[in-house]
Amino acid sequence: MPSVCLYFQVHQPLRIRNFSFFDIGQQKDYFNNELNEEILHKVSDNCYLPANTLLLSLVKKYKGKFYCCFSLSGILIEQLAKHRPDVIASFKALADTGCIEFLGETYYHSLAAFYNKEEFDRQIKLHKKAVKKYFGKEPVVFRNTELLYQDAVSETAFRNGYQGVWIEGSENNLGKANPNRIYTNATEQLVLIPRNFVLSDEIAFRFKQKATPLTAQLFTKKILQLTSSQNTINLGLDYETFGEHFHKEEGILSFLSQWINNCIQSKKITFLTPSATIDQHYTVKKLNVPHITSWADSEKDISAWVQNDMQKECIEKLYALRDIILKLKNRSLLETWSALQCSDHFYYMSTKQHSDGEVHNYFSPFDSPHGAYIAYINVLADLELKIDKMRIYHSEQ
Amino acid sequence: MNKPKVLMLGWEYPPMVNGGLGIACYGLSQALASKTELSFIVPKSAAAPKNIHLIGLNEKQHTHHEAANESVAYSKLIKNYPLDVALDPYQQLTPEEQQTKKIVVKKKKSVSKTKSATTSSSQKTDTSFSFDIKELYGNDLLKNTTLYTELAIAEARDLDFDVIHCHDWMTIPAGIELKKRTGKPLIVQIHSLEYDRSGPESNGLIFQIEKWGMEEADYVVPVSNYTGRIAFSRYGVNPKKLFTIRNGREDIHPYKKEKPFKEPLVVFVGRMTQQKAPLQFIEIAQRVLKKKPNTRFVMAGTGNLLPDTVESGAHYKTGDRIHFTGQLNRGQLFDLMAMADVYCMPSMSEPFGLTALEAVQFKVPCVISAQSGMYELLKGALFADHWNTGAFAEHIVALLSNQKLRAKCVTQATKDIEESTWEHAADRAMTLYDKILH
Repeated sequence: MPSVCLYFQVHQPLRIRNFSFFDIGQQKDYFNNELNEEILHKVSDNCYLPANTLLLSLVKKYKGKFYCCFSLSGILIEQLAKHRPDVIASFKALADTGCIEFLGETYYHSLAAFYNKEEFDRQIKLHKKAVKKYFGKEPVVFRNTELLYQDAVSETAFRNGYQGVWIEGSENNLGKANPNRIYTNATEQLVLIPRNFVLSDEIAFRFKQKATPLTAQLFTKKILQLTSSQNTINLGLDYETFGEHFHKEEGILSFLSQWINNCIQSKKITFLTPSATIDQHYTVKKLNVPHITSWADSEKDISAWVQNDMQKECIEKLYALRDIILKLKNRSLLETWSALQCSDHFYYMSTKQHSDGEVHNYFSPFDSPHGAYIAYINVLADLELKIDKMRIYHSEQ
Repeated sequence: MNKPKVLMLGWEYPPMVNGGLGIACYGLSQALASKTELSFIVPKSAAAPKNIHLIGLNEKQHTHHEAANESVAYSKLIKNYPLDVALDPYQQLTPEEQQTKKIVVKKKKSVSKTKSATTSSSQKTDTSFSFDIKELYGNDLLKNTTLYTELAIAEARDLDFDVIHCHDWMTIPAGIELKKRTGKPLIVQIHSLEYDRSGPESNGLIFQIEKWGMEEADYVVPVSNYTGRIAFSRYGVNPKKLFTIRNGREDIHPYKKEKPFKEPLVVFVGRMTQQKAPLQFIEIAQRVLKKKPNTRFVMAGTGNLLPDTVESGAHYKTGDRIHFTGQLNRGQLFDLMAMADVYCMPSMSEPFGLTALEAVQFKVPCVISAQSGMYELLKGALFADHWNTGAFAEHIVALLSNQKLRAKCVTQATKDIEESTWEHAADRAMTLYDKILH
């Protein structure tokens, strides 16, 4: 029987303030705490809590027939633990059913995989620890930030004990190969699970946006078109799609519960966790991915985060600070620097136009990519000053 | 001697100030207040100074609207050009100004009082013109200029004046029309020219209006001899008609502010437009950084070139050395000046350069474009041709490394601007009025 493997990306960055030149050297906080808390409460109430309640009811209703998985960034877990322990508890309740799996990722939702291997490794371990601490589960399948992938990613994931890695089911990963199958990585050490972006985007971008809105019946029909027993439809979505990007009043939650209901009742398809997907399906072939791929924008590469000069300058300068930051052994400094690695900061600086540009703007708390850059680079300038002062202090000691 | 009755036509007046024009109009008119009977027509007035008769067209209920377009040459001019030219001669307004609510000028009944009997039917319609201040410098600048002309002419009907004194091209059509109707002499004061803003190839409608205005004027008043030379060489103005009146300085109370970093600070203040050469400044900064890597730069201002300038700084990976502040209010600008070690103004063409006067008052040594009005005023500044980024960088490095040179520049420049007062400018204007009226 074909199967569906469903994962939800759950992440909120620590957005930075509009940090101006006049703030440099004034001991001001880099992060826009007010805004971050406000958004956290909003998505918790609109999405995380109601969607978790819904999924929990489905798990209970179809005991052993409904499975899915979550990928929570460490930086979100941290924010929830601090401000919304009720949301942590509701994820924990889902984890306790045994039907929900958690994916591994970088703690800071970062691009470390392509800028510093050791940092990448450090964040994978940090994240694994956090998932274990809060949800009592050890992740076995990995999903890099925004499905960013390259052969080297699976090598690091493998070394960290992962059995599989999610990738985008796009041509730059698969060529002409079928996205509804699973593959092995270049070194054949682990399994690659491609996300069916056509069906996933059907929900994420086209729900309510067409002349004929996407109904649960229609979506079930599309899924049931795949009948081969080796087929696995891997759907990956921002969790915020359910209640935040689309509001409850637009019927997004009932849509979610209905098509899941429909699929289960059809008895033509099953739901699996990623690890069960790996166990129950055969891999087709190995995939070589020498260039960086991702799930973002029409290019489906790293260009959403690193393309223009502003993005390049910021990310290079940020990672250039790693050695000295580690040397200074100051925990809060390390955490600040780490939170600045969040890919979102670079996403806001994108100068892409048209529909991709609109998506970037939708998420950005800044007026313009240049505004996002100016704030970020000023933060880096301030951080450099701080480091200099600490360095002098250390050498005097 | 009776006080001369002066009608000034202007575009900006505090608190509606975007650049030098508004500050200069304020400074000059205030200094002239006791010496003349001064009426000043502007599109929008918010505060009403007691000493001059400031008329904001936004406040008026215009019951007698003139059919100016029937007798004036400018309508012909405007007809020959598409109206929807995107214009940005100065820059956008500050956010606070944009938030100010829309001011609507009601044109209740358009009864034509012109000599021509062939009134068009459109004049009878009850239309309301909006002087949305956001649009004062927006895409509708030409439309607003036309509107200003019509309303100003109507307003001037009730005023008694001996001389018309207009400021920059937006008020030129009104100035010419009033001269033609009343026979009073016309003074066209030039704060900046299309040549400054758009470069030598400028030849559009605005250039034509400026040329026309300077031809019709009895006297042309540039804010520097430099601008006078451009009026002569680029616009063919008879040099005998030129009468320079330099801007004065705003008296400020300079102070010093400690920087949060140890590196010296080089400051650029201006609109991010071609005229102010922000991209040149990035290049200058790169050259300075090569010789003195421990230098910081601040670029204050906004404009259409801001994105390109920001990206250029990032391209050289110097974003953490070149800081952008966006538009600053006066307090922030003074704070910046109080921290600055060098002030740099690489403008392609700068009629005067009021900000340099502020830098000098803050005892900041200046490196300035030789294509500016400052070149003839400040002996105590270092100059370079605007295209010569290498020379700018050398001057900056010299000022950052040589304390004696710094001190010398500051002392000399302070002396240079002693006479740069609005009082002095007003005296010059009085001399001119006297010359015209007697």
